[in-house]
Amino acid sequence: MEASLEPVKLGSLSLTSRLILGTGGAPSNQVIKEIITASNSQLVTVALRRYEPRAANSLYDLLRTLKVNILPNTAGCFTAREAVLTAKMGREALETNNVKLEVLASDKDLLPDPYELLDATEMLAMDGFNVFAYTSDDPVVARRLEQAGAQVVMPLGAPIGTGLGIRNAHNIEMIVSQAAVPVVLDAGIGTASDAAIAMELGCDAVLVASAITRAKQPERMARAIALGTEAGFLSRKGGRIPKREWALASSPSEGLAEFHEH
Amino acid sequence: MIEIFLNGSLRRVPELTTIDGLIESIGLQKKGVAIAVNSEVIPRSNWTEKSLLPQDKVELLTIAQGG
Repeated sequence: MEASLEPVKLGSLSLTSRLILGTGGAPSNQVIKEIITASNSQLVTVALRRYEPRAANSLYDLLRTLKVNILPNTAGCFTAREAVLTAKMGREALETNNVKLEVLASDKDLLPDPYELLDATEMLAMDGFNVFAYTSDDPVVARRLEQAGAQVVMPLGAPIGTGLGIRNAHNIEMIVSQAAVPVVLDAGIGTASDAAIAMELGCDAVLVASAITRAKQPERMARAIALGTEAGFLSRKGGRIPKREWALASSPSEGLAEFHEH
Repeated sequence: MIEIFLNGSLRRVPELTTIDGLIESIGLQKKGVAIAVNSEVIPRSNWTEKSLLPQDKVELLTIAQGG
């Protein structure tokens, strides 16, 4: 098998694309269709909201037509109780045990609340859910989430929608090095190189929404970030050379011609 | 007829309306939707049996864009 197609197992899914696409922020369903096609993503996230007669659930029909896996999230929940109820709604709506668990601390920073998140993870894991836990970049919290039953740990690179990239690369490396479950870099990616860096740090996949859906040309950016993700994965597998202080010639020093001065 | 609250709005439905019946009366397909009554998620398998009672608070959710 081609190295770039080495599948990753996330929850109940085995995926060859390591880019999870968030649909939030897309200007239309048409754009969602274009970015899924351009990125070859096999897993997309959605939220659950009150039924609107105008929308008529057309997003569901579109995603089913595209035969992409759907990961419901619990966005908008601030307590473990709300998140557990929303996760259960997602399970009924989409008939999947996979859930992207978000329990946020406040509207302003959209940072995960570790205490509520841990509670919700434990409850949902006991109830048979495959919890994809959206968390801060704290290695201790990541470890605790895994112990609580999370099947995928999803640390942020930077706050949601900021596009600030990976603010604490060392923490991401620590999370990866200790994790026995897949690690997905979620939130903060602003451009293709950020996705490549996440993969080079050892993440198993990345989740990108705003950087693609709010780009000037979402379709192009979707392709760019998919390529960045794959490039980062391959370069991680390829094994980077050690960093050195001084230069090391790549051309041989033997067999050099001798040129005499006259 | 009885009065229930559907997504926060008052709605009149016939007595003994089931979840299934409610979704049909809205003209909504059953795939991709979820229902909670009084903050209790109703599994799909109970939709044909579970009847609504007066003043029930029904949340009917579908999928929407999300990250």
